[in-house]
Amino acid sequence: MRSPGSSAPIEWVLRLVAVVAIAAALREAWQQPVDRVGRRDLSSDALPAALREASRDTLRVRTDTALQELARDWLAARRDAGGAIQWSGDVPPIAVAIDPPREPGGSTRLLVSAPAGRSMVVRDSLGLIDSTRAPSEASQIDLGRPLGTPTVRFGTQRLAVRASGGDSARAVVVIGRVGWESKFVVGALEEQGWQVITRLAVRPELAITQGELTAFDRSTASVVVALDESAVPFARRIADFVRGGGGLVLGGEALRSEAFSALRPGAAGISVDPMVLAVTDSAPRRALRFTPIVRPVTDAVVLERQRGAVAMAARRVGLGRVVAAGYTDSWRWRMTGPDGAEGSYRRWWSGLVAAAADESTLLLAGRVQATAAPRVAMVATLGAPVVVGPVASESLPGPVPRRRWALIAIAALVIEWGLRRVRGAR
Amino acid sequence: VSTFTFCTAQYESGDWDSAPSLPANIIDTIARYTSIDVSPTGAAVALASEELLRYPFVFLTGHLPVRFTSVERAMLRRYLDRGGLLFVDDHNHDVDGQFHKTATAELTAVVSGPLVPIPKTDALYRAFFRFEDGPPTTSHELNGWGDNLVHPALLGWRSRGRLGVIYSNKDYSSEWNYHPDNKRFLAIDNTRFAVNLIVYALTR
Repeated sequence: MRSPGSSAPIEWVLRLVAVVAIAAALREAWQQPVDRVGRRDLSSDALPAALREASRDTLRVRTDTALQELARDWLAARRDAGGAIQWSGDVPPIAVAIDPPREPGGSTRLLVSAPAGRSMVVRDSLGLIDSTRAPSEASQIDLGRPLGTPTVRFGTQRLAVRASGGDSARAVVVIGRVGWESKFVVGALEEQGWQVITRLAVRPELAITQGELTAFDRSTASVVVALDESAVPFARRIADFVRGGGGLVLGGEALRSEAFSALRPGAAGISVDPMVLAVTDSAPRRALRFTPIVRPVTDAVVLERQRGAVAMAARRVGLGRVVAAGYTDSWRWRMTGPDGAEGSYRRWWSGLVAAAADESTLLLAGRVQATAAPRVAMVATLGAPVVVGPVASESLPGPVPRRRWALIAIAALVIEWGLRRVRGAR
Repeated sequence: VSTFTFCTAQYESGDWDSAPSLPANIIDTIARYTSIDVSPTGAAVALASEELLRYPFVFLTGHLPVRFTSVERAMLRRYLDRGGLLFVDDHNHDVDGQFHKTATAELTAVVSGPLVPIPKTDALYRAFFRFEDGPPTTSHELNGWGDNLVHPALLGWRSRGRLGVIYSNKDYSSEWNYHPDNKRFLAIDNTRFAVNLIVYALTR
């Protein structure tokens, strides 16, 4: 029987092993740089959990679908904080965008660019709108007046085009004399859904007004329609309004005023009588008298010609747009035209105003705030994808070896303690 | 320039030209109070004619029963749909007379709905001059015989929120049917409400 006080050689060996293991762990911990990081390869499914960890490892994400905006932003933030980010995968180059209604009665269009043949499903908050295959080139889908956020699904990939905004359009200001032209222009715009502020001069010092014309402020007005010389007293303010981004529609009589010479797309010529007497469906404006636009400025865009003269033209001035329509008695189109003339007349005037208005005017059913092009967004945020290489050989030692040394030390000490208890020693 | 021309409607039945001096008087009034570009002479246009569409304001009056032809009804409907304004005045200044019964029946058929009283607060009464009590009374309503001929309101029919038909029993046809030079004998010009009618037609 061995003495309880004597120790077995194996216990000494175990003690030695424990000391060596502890020393090795301490040495490794001492030699390991504080900022030494590893690399983790993960799929996009595992990304949310990985993002929650406080690790500074290099993250290499493999995904075949576009990352959600939140995940992209997290990765970008992590990279900006010093972490390394890489991604790889076959994310298809798909882009969707929304073309908002150009005028109150208009509809929203979805613009889609996707690899040909991909099936796509378009929905809004109410439900399915359309289901089709992407054509070979960019396509448009008329959404009418979508409710909430339109979404497009390509296989497992879901793209949302967020729509929000106010429910009211900014106003159109119509300035003119009391007369048939002003009456019918105002009527046409109101019937098309525009909110109209009017200032119609009934005599030099007196005007019939509707709404407040306190300022040509782009927060309340988007377009000014100047029909005749009664707008001249406002010419300077109108010019400032246009240069700041507002729109201007110049009627045929206003076009003749030199007060608008800096804004109009050309000088005014001598009035041209109509080619025909009767307004027809096919060419209704041929029966209207107009002030031709002569000597157009260099940046003027001719929109319409009648009898060889320019009847309509447009240009940009500062941040705004000016559309000049030389017709002086367009109301005759509505009153004397064939069946349906009142509708085409309304749409024409509404289109003129829409052409002069900037897009943000149209806060109708919903203004688009985001364009969904996920691959572009990923490249812009995270950089170009990388080619995937071998994983295991590049892996760097992480915290596992340190734990191994600790386990060896603990195991050696436990066994040594057990042996001592077996032989009766304390 | 599109001038304003005072247009009187000719219709097959009745006496459409019962107030021959009225157009010149109203033209004078418009020129007197406003700078509206007004034609110095009026026009008379057949209700059944396409030419009616060239005049977005039309005046119709008479004493006798009114019966529109089918062509007149169709043209009037088209005229109203396009945005024209028809002002009808009963030249009889009586209550429930023949012109009133037949003209309102015809108009009701044309617009497919009843003519309803125009409230005193309507923009018509503030379009130029202010008439807080609604349509001004005429001397024919206030003839001193106590026969209670005052009609408190005009009747109207609206299209897209605008008055397309204004109907009067006030007998403005008699009230305004005089040579414009005679306005100088009046303490208050009794044609001022005509300015409201025209300005309303030109702005609404």
